[in-house]
Amino acid sequence: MKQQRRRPRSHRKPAAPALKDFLRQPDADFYRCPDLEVRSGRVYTDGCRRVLDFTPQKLCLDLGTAIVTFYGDALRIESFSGRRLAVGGHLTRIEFAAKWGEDHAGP
Amino acid sequence: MRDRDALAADRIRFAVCGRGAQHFLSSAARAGIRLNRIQAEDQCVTASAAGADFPRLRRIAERGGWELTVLSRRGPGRIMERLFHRPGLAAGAVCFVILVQWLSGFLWCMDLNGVEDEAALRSSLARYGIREGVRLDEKTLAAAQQAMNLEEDAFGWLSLNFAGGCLFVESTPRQTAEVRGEDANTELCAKAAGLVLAVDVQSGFSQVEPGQYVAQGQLLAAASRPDRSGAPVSQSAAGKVLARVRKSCTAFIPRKRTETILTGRVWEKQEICALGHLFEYRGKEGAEETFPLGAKQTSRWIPLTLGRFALPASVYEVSYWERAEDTVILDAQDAAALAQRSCRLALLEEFPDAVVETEITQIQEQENGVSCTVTYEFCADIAVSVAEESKDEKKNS
Repeated sequence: MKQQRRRPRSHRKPAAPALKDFLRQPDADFYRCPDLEVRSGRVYTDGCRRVLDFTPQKLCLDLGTAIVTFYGDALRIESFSGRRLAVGGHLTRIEFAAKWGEDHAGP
Repeated sequence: MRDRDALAADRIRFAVCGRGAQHFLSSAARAGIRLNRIQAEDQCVTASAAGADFPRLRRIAERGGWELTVLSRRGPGRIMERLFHRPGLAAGAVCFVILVQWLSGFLWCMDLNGVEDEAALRSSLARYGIREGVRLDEKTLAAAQQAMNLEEDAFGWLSLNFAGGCLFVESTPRQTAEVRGEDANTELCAKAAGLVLAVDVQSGFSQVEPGQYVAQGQLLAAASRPDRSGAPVSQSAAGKVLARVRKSCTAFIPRKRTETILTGRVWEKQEICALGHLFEYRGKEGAEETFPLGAKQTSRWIPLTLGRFALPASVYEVSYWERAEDTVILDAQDAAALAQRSCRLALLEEFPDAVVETEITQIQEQENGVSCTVTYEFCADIAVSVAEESKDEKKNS
């Protein structure tokens, strides 16, 4: 009977971040990028300046340098105070667009 | 909806309609208003917010040209809302409860349950520190009840019950029973001559019958009687012998005499007891020490009331009336009336149960006074107990 050889388990750990990684400067425009957090089926943001468009299928937000549009069904804003906003409902797609006509604006 | 209708305690659900209603949300959020459960509908946005933010929401809607409609509200209700605008009502209710709790410890009124001598009972209670206006506790009450049951002769049984600011006094009058000694061998004799009307001899051996005339000192009921063998049988005599008696009384009243009379000077002292404090007010005229010991003293208790509503306060008022010896000159009519009164008092002293049937009055005016002789015909108990031995001694002497 042919015995199948077990593959030796790899004990290599992923490369730990070096100290210089912690100390390096963040990328340019890091703080002006839109900040979105998905938690418990809801999307939270801390930088919403305006609600540009709001329908049950589409919610368009001005997040400073970017325009973020949520698509889905029965979309609703769970809470909105200051610049904190929580989006609920059945989300299907999130689209990012540069506010000033730039090509790309990523979270 | 007016501003005063939206309260901090309320939670409102509203709809904003108009062109670009979503911009209303941004404006409200920038103003620091927290919106919840925002949903988009046709040309409208519905959201929830605190009622306290409603005036600001309305101003934002007016500025932006949107129509703001309140869909629903949840809160304490209109009654509580009105109460919120009148905090004095709630504060008054709280104060009322506190005051009732505090004031119910004070004595507001006394229910004496028809005690005859109310002033005397009030004075007795005041001696033990119980009067309207004091703060009563169980210890004081129990001590007073125990002391009054022991010391007061007027009550056979006394109970003090304090409830809801009212002191209920329950009492029964003291009843005395006369216990007759077994060894006293007494007889009943007539203390006045008369016609016997009824014989009610409870013990002993009756010697008279109704319709019989008896002389003064005559034996009415004997204490011993021989039996068939001739041996004496002893039994103390007791009872009543009702007779019609004729008796004359004479009194002399001088027209000029010296008597102790009221001078008209009065000194008053008032003690006001309210909410556990005692305030004393003394009259201006004279002082307690200047009046002689024989001064007439009157006192009265005045429970303070507001209409029919009792207050936890009472006034104890004492008046001292000065007396002095002075010469009194009576006219003939007054002197005759006083002499007649003296005759009646003398009769009642001798025969306390006398029922006067007829009386004949003879008044003689003399130089220095008036003499009055009244002949009474009355019915009374003429039996008087006399010890058998003393009677024998009298006979011997």
